[in-house]
Amino acid sequence: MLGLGGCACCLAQPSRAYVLPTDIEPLIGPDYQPLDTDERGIWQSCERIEEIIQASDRLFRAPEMQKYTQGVMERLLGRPASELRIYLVHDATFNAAMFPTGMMVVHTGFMVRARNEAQYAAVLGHEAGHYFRKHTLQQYRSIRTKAAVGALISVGAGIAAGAGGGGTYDASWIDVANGINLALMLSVFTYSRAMETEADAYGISLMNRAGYQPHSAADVWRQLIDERKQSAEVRKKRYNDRADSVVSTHPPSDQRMVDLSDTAEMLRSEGSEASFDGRDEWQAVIRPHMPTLLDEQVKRNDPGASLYLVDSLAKDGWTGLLHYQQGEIYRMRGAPDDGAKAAMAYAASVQLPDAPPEAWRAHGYALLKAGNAADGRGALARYLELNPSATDANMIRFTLAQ
Amino acid sequence: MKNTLMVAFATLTLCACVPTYKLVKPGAVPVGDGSLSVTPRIEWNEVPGIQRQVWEDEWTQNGPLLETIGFVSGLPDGKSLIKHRKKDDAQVAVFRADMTPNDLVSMVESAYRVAGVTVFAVDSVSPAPFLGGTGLKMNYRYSPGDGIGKRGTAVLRVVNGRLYLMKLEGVSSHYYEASQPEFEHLVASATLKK
Repeated sequence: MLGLGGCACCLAQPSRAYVLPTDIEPLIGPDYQPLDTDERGIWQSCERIEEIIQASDRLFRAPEMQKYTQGVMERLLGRPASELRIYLVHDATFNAAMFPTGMMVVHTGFMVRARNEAQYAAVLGHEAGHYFRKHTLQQYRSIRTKAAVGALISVGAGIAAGAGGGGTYDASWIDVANGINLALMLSVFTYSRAMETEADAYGISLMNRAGYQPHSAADVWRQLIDERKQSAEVRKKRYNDRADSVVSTHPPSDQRMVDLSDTAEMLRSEGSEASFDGRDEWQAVIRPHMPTLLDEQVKRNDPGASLYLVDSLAKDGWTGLLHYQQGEIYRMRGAPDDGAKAAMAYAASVQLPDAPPEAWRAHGYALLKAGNAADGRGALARYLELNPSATDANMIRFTLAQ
Repeated sequence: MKNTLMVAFATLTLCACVPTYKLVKPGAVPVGDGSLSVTPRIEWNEVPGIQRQVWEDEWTQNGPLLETIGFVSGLPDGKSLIKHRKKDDAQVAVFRADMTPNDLVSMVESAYRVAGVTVFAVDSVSPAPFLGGTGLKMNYRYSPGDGIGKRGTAVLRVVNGRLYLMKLEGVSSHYYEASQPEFEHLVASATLKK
């Protein structure tokens, strides 16, 4: 399975070859069609992958979010973006991908981490850079020439889980796409250092022209690096900034962050007045989906990353949802004092008016575990009161009857 | 001749290393580490598992991509449903003997999510008879990457501090439902070694 080895999120290499955003022009226009046999072959594979994504249950079906995303892309391009088809996909990993036919895939794992519209635009702009600079075709030819595919085929194998897990299946749309054309997917997910640098520069130039605060591009990576460091610390391992292979998860790069920050500073010094971060607009559109998106992240039981995310979101104020998810992180981690920490988080959650009903359930079970049967039962009863058609209502009633 | 012998030897070696399916005949049969027994009414195929833990078993009729029945025969406190490296970022929650029903459900769910599943929904959780007592039954749905939805049912019970689990999962269209009666029979037939 390919991880976040390439794409907007996949700067597999530090971007030392500095590229000025003003130096880059798009290589293709709105009505672009494939020119030769190579390209036509790639396009056929892309169309098959797109058909699978279109029919997939993993599509994040949120019309207002879809419209919003299209709007951000059109603001970046300064014109209708009819050649780009953006698919929002349920996938908890931080990633996005661009295909040469104009299909873009954006993971919910990125959306949950974006703090404002400018950060969202930074990744969309970067992906657009790969498209308009025809990076996939270049990389496809490079990979084929090096005959690297055969050596890497083994890493495309799916995950085999045990009897207690998910059985035998391809977990991600990426696994399925690998099966259709592995060389294409390697091209999409392992762009060269120069291509990533170019896409960064292209993206930041689009941001600047559209009035988005250019520093937001560096902020995306700063947050991701900090999150990855905390994730590594909790698992007691050394943070690794570089990709060891194409199966590595997305490798954020300190150097890339520095280059993006320098570019933003250069634009500012040259008189750029782009300063829109779109925080309120982003919050308005993402807020209704945060329970689902946070759940996707927290249930993966990567406690360092999840705590970083929840703590970061809480800088704008703790909510019932954030306290509840904080409790879930501790509960699933299961370190010696995590039970008490989880109980405190649930207790804090149910004090707030926006506590999800599930917070009452968790609070109730935590109290029962602590030996406080009366309050525990009361909290479970409150859960049923708030959510009488809960999927686990029968189990809760059984617990209450004991 | 020498080359032929080498090829034959290599083939035999390869065959010896490749795990193969085994036929499971009707009648009482121990599963996992042998502490759990079930009585299938029809023939099943035991799925080979290289990385399977000692208390795990998996059966199928039409292939693991279409349907499987999984067994966990007494996961001890402190162990995980899936074997992890200690430093894996995402890990299935470790089983604890004092887990609540809510803990058990999220532990099973995390086994899927850690494997990369993002769309996972619990349809129902209810008490259910299992191994001579009351266990927990959860019905769920999830979407693999190929977009072909699957459904699952897991029955769990903690006995003497160990987790016993039986699980059916299959493609939503046909295979899950087709195997349900046999799965229910297997759950009802399950006994612990005395």
